[in-house]
Amino acid sequence: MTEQAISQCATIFDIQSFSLHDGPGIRTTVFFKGCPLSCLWCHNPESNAARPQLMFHSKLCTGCMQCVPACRQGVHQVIEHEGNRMHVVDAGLCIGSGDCIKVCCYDALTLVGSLMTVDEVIDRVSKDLRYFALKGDQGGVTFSGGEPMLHVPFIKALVSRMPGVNFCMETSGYAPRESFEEVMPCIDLFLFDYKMTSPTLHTQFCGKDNALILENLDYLHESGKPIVLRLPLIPTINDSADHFDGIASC
Amino acid sequence: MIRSFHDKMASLRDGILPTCIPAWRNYMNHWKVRNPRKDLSFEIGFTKAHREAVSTYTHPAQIELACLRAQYPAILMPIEENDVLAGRIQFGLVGYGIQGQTGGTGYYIDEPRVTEALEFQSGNAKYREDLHDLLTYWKSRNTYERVLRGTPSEIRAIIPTEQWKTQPVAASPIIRMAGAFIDFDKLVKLGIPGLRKEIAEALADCPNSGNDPVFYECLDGSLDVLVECCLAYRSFAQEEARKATTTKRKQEMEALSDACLAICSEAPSSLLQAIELCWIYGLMCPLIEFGRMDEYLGDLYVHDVDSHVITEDQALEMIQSLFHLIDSLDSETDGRVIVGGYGRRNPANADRFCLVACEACRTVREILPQFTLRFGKDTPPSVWDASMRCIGEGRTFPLLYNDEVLVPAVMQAFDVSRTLAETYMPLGCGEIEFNHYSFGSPNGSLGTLKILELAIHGGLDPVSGTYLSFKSPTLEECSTYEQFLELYKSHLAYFIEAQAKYEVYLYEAIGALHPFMMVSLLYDGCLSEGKGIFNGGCQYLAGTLELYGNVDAANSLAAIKSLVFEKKAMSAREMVAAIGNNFVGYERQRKSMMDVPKYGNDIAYTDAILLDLHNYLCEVTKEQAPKVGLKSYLCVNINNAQNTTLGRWVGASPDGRKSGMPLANANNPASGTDKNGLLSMLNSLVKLPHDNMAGMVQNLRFTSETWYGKDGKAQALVEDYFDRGGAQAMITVVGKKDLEQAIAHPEDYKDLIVRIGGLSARFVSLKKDVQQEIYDRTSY
Repeated sequence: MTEQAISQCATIFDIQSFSLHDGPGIRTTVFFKGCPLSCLWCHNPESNAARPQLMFHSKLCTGCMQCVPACRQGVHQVIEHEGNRMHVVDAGLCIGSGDCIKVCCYDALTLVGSLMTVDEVIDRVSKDLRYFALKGDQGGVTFSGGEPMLHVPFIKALVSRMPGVNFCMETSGYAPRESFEEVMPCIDLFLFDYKMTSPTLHTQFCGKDNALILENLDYLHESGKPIVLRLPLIPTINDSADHFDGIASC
Repeated sequence: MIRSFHDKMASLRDGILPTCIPAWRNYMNHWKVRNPRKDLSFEIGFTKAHREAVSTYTHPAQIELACLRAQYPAILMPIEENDVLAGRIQFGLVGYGIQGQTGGTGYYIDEPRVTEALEFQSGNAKYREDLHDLLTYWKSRNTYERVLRGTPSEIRAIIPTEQWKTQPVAASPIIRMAGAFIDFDKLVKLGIPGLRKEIAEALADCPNSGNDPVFYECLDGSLDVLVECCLAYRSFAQEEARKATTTKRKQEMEALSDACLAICSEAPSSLLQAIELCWIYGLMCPLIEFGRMDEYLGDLYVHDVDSHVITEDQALEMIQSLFHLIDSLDSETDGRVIVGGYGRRNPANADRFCLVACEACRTVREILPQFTLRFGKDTPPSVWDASMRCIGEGRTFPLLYNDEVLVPAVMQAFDVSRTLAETYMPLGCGEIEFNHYSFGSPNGSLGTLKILELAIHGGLDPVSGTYLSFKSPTLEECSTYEQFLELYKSHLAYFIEAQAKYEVYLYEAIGALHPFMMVSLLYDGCLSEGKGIFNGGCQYLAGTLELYGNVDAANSLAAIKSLVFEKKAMSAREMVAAIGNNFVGYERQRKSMMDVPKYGNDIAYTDAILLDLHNYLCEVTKEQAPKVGLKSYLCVNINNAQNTTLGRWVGASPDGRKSGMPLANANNPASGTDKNGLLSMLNSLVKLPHDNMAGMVQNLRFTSETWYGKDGKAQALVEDYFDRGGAQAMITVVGKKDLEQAIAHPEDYKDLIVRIGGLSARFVSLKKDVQQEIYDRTSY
């Protein structure tokens, strides 16, 4: 794919209006798929893989089994378990065709992530523009995920086409310095995760060392960019005095 | 074990459904009195009085006066230990009322309950003879039956039954006179003596005016009965004073006794006197709407507090007690207390009253009154903030009405002046009238999704297997969407025309039987005309038609248009087969129908279809008024759980809805179909105009985290919705988790109140399918 093409489309798994916890004011949050980390406590693990993925909501499944013949990859199977017929899903076989989703009447199957162009995302978020300035607040668009820093060319292209809009980015900080240098002029506020102080524990619980993250944090801070530190507090994991000391000295 | 009649009633009040009571029981009207009457001696006495009256008199006013004397003060009940006001009442199983929630319409009998008393109560031979007599006497004489039997055959041929709860119907009459908003302001200003004076003057002028002197004599006689009621409550207050164990209680009851006496001969001069006079007068109408309370109580409230006659706390206690009395009527719907807005005589004092009323609303945690705030750009921030606080605490009140949108809309819809439009009053579940001037009782309901079902099948109802409408080409026989749409619209018009004729018939039939004197006395024009309100007295006789299923119908039309006629993804035959089989074996087709964009997602395709349907319904309904002789006839899009009950009798529909499932709530999206979030839903909501109909309600539900979070952003959103043309909002702050827990452990959630549509209810007392429908609605 050419650089031009990369900048014009990305795999998005949600665009959520009326977000109240992703920056100041009322915001529309664009969730990008794909993340370099693998945090143990991740509350949207469907964002981890970069490709579209099948999600099976077993509580909504009525057992109609229409998806079984619809799928040509054998993702959906019927098995006998303790005298009952059960629907099991092998998501690893899924190629993201969406054939099973077309026949499910109960929303038990969804495809998380679809390729969207910059134009499509702009069309979608533009519907919410009037809400960003309610009561004089600085609402706007927040890039989140997954890790939005994997999609800097896309973000740059989008921001350039929406002048006057406030943009925030929620990031783990795990991306090349050059990416931050490139994206910084586009972003009004960084919501920056500080998950773990100890490099060993960061690797153990998040899958990667935190040296690059801390360097990027220093860079953003020294450049004067507004930053809000996001501090996930996970009982028995990072609720330690050492970690709190690390936050304090940040 | 045979349980006593009143044990069963007590169980119902506790929210427990006893299995021994038949399912057809109407569970409203428990009156919430501590020691209800144990037998039907009142009902027997009332029947005797009616019998004597109809053999003595022919004038409806004289008959009504005799019945008022038999009913009042017999059904008034003692003051209870936490009451600071006098006003408990227990309407009988036989008696005089104005609509179902006041016992019944006109001269009524609750036949199932009288039958049950006959079957289960003990009593001597004479008593049991009298119970038998009740049943046979009232069988053909009760107003409801007389109205039903007298329905013209041409109307009966189109809307054959009022049994909409148990049978598939396209349209149904509703026999009642709902929405009396009397002139409380005049009552407080003149008091009983002032009203007598007006009556006396009108009576004296009869030789000149040619008006009916008997009507005026009976009006005056009704005021005699009112005085007796005041004195009866005075006796109750004196009894309470005697029993009082604290000085405070003794003083309260003595003041109450004095107030009840004073209003017999003077216009009210204190807040307490005004409240008592208005309440007792209302019981005799009988009323379940309480008007612009800030206007008619505001002056005396301010006077008493500023003159230190009472403290703010004492005033609050009175209003709280008043709200408890309103709740005790247990009317389920209605019970409107309206504050705020344009057109009030005394906005400064009224706004001060608004604040104490808001506090009463916040602290009296019952489902009634339906506290209603009319607001505009002049509404003080303190009143708005107090309202938001109530809503945030999960009260579901106040119901919010935007005067900046509604006053101009009402001017347009009703073709009236700004001055008159400013007196608009939402009654019941949301129909609009003008304060003590117009009467627009909603006496019919129209199932627009049911009618679509008929249109698809050429007039045949697949659920009952009978033709409910005229025979027409079926969907399969239509070659274009436009052709089918015209057919559907013709079926809609067929029923709307019949309903309009029915509305007029009902006014004529009931007007001939009942002058409703206490209502007429305080409705503009009746006194000067010398006529009962429905017999020529009312200056603006109007009507309203309730619509159910518009959103589902629009979603279904979108599916038909898109899949059958535009994309040709399925034939009409295939679609009809799919819905005919409740999608069994047609799951793929159902999925296609479900995937067609739904209203509530800010998608132009379907929103435009609903807009077209809405405008058509509004215009055709409005056109009926001059044809049938009403000042206006307009439709309303409200809800009161009829969306669930009517939906039971509608088969599967082209929007993917399964057979029997609930319809959408008013003009909110169908449950679960608003997938694009709150902002898109609001964008869809504001597309529907309010200037061609008589009321529309919008339900919004927020979790408490959203409502209270982020510096009031949810509230800012609500304000923006109103700024953009939103007319109305009913906001519930409750989470889905609370509802889940309430379903699992109802005993722990007895106080959880939710908004159904035009009424609030205790969630745990709702039927299971209504609970599920409410649970399925989206929370933000």
